[in-house]
Amino acid sequence: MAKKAPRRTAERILEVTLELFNRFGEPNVSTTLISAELNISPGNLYYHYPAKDELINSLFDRYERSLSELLNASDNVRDVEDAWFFMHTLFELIWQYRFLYRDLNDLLSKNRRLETHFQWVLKNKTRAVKALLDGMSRAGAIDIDSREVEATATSMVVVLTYWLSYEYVRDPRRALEPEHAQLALMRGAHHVLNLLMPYLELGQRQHLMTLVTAYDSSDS
Amino acid sequence: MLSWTPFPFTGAYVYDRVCVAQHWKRLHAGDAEPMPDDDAALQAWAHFHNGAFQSAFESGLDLGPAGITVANKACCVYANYLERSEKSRLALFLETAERARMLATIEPLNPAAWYWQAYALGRYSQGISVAKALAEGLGQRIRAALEETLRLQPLHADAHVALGAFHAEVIDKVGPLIGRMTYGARKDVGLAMYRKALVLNPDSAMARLEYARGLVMLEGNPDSPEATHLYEQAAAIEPMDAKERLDRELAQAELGD
Repeated sequence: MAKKAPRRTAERILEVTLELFNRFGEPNVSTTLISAELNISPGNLYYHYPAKDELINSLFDRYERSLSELLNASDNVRDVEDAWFFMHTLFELIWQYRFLYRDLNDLLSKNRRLETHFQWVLKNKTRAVKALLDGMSRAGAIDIDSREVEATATSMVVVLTYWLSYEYVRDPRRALEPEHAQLALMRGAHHVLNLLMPYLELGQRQHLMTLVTAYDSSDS
Repeated sequence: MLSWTPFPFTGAYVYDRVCVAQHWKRLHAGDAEPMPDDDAALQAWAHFHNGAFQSAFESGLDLGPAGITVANKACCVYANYLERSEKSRLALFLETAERARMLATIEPLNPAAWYWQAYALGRYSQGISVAKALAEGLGQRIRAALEETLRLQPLHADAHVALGAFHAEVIDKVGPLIGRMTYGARKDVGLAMYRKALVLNPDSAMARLEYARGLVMLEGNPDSPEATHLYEQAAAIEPMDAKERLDRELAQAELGD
């Protein structure tokens, strides 16, 4: 028998669901809309994902896996340039799964897996940011008192986690549309790293300002 | 009652009472349902096999206890394959589970009363998420109802499929260790159930679809060649009625991308 291409219905359902969740918000997307968008029967959708929660869980599992991999790279950050690149990559990942952040409190209140695992996400982000501060400290890029590390890392995680909510409130109709991604992510990365300003070594501080001006000229 | 979304292949199956009676054995190879001896019940089943699920449901309910099973089956097939609203779908499963439970109190030896309780609660559990359903204690009830079905009718192929799915879902959602300790779920038992179903009803596309889904859950490989093979077999089976047609469509969609 000829070798068949792998079956892709389940994968296609996830891809389209992610796109719909990101554009309209999870609470506004019904399984009816998903099956209509895919042009498949309700039975076909239920066969693969009998509950909407299963779609949310599968997408969250993917996010959690990618996030975990990425956060482990924070150990290698030595200077502002590395940190800029790291934050930008992190924001790109968050952007890919922005529906999770758009309706975070709502999702946490109705989905047990998210309720428990999002706490882990925050802890893991904090651990990674601390590793970043530690690496930059050892390389002489920042000078930070060890007693300030915890609070600085927490502030960075808060901005990182809620930046898209801030963008959304500023312009609910357009903020989360793909054409706004680039600037929104840039602003996010800038404001997370701006928290390092008081601790940056002079040359590094100037370098950060140069990066911000070069990439983010239209920041408001 | 609101009208149900119609079966998309209207007119593809045109059974009457006589025709249903003639093909009864093949049409009911999955549920081993005994052929009713009254015409009205046969007519309700003819509606079911033609894909007039709402007519089958309503005429079944009009018949009292003798029509509950055809009503339940029509309701579950409709909810599972055609109902677009998640909320209505879950409500239909819960109503079916309750009707079947009532039937089991007056006809405790009727395997269908137990089977449709288990089926409806099983689909409901999947619909609210299996983890939630297990936490609410539905797992034990589903399992007990399926075991009672098989005790009363050991040749019930569909109940074997459902029991296979029970093992697969539990292991998939809570893991093999807790699944085994808390719910007695075992991979080998689950797989054996699907295989037994296919021995009892070799023409079943539905058993193959569920077996393939169970394999993917238990083996963790979405591209499993064994699952693909099962879909290919399911897509090639000539459907004898509306429900079988819906199964074939599902198998073909799975292979069609």
